Amino acid sequence: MKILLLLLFCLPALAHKPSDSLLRLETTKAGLSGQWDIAIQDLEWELDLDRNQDGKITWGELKENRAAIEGLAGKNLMITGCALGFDDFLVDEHGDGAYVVLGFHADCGRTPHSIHLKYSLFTERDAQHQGLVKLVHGGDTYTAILGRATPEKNFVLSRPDFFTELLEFLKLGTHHIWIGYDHLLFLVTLLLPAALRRRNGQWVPVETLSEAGWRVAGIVTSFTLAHSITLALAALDVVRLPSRFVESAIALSIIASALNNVWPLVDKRAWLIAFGFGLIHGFGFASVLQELGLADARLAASLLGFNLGVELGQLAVVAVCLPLIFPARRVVWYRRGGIQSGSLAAAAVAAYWFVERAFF
Amino acid sequence: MRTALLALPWALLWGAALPAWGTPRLPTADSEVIAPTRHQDDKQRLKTVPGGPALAREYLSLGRRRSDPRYFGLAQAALGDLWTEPEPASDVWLLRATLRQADHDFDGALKDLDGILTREPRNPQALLTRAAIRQVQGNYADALADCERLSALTHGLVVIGCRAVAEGNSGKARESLAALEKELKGDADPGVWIWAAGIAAELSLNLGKTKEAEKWLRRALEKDPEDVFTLTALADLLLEQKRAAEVTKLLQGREFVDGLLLRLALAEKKPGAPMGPYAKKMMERLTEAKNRPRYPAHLREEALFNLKVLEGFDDRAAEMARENWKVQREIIDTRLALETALKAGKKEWAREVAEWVETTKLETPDIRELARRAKK
Repeated sequence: MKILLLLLFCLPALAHKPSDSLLRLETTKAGLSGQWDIAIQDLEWELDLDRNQDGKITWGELKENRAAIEGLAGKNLMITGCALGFDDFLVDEHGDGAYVVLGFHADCGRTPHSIHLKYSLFTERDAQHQGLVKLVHGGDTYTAILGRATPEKNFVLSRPDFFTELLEFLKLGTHHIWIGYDHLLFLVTLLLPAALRRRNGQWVPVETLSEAGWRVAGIVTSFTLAHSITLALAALDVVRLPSRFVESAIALSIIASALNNVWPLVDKRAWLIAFGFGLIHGFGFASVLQELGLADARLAASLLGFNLGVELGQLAVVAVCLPLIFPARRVVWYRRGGIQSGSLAAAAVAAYWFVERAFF
Repeated sequence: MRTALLALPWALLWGAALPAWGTPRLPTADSEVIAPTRHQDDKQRLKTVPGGPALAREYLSLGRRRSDPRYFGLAQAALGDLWTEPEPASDVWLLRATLRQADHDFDGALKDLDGILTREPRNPQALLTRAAIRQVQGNYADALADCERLSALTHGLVVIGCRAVAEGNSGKARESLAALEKELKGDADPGVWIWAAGIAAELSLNLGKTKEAEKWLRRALEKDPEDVFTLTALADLLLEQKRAAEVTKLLQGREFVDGLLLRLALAEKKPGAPMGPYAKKMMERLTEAKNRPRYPAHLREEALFNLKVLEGFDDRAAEMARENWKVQREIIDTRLALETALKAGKKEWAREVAEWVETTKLETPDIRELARRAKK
């Protein structure tokens, strides 16, 4: 009988590791970006890398095999709901030899909240091959080891806590109103006569700062209230208006408000205009939140935060305007012509926007 | 799992120190060699082998020859469903046991071997493999029983060698060595001869005969200059005698094998000096190996590395050596367990090993000295 003496396998000196690939993922706005390190000696089993059979694999030969390598990789990594696309093709050295480094991205439509991976590289041919996965999402790192024994893994990514999310949207809201020239212009048209009131067809100064302050507060608050309502409705997809319509309507609202300063139809209830038109402006803000895909987000945090942000931005505008309009109320040319000319200028700009938005 | 817990602080510690993800680069010239082919000839040859046990056996022997456990994964896959078959054909069952042993799953391997031998009590390969595992575990009495059973089925160097390990490490080093030396004079299959010469070297060391040990190892190397087991044993011998430069020369270009890389790192080590290139590479390897579930497979190397190369990691070294000693108890493991325990001041652990040394009647001089210190 032939004794094979496989006894010699008892070599503890053979303390080396079997085949691994290294898969690193990071969440992005549109999905994931990634880097996959695959050992060249593993690829050798699947592909014919040494084209000229000289016992060496050169960079040129690797490049010739690039499509095949990327094809193999793409076939063996599934990320549910995302489409893989390969970018960079590089090399690197790890402890046990040279690896091909595939840079790739996964298009998932938006930043994923959970990621389902399915890994099958080499697992049919090699029972001990493992994919070492590292996923980075914000400040958190998740890891997994995938292979024949565990081919799939679902990562549930942590959401930031309520206040962090609130703060984030607050910043977003503030930013949005600052870059929203149309919203700002509307606000300004409302504020121009805020320290005055109508009496006998004329603008007359309001007596005290507190009265002026209250009027302004009334305007700004009703504006905020109104746009909060419609923002919520639109962000939740309860009401959906075409953006062209919304943007044109916003321009019209500015014209209306401005002209109202010249030929006042509404005076005592200035806040009514603010509210009425605020409803339209709310739809304008909604587009920002819609882009972020709020359907399953922390709705309360995001809406509240965003609205607070917008309000804060508005208050900043008020803080700038109030010290100007308050003393200005006593200035005659301001009462007689300043408001009117300013408003007409605003109306002109808004009219230009209207034409641009409605017809182009 | 205890070992998994051991791994964690390591991962954190080294994870910070090492860029595990490296810095990928774009080569500049098409002619730049990125990697040598490793599998070209094998691929061609293996194309003709049908899938199943035959292919698994090919991968297995390749893995052994190349000292590359990547092949074991291929071997396991080649067995397909047979891997989980409760009672397969004996040759498959043996392959499975061998793969498990190579993976350091000694319990799993023993279970397979017990199964085979229940069905076929006179299967020589199974007896030999089981004896080998039992010897690694330090279970010399049961190993000897298997060797005796084997002696009823065959004779020659294999049996003498089998007995020599079991008896040579449990009080009968002199007699075992004599019998082995006699048998080694005759003809034998080179693989078997080299294995037996390695045992002769170990027994010589047990008796303090370092020159003899070196002679046996060098003769073994003449027959096969690539044999990793022999290279490792010779390197350890040279390191013990502070002949580090010879180690570097001996193992040059062989850092692919972790065990040899470790010896290169040990040879490179100068007290107080910063980590040399071999040590850095070893650290990288050990970190990368941590992702493997069979983490225990690296405990011996890692403990040695901690003890002899890194400085200030005595506790870690002791813990790892102790975990390692639970799984395997070859001379090197016992020595490691004692050395690290004593250095880290873990008297209880050292005493436990020392008692085992006593009961087993291990004769290796330096181990007996360590045991004596442990019992003080």
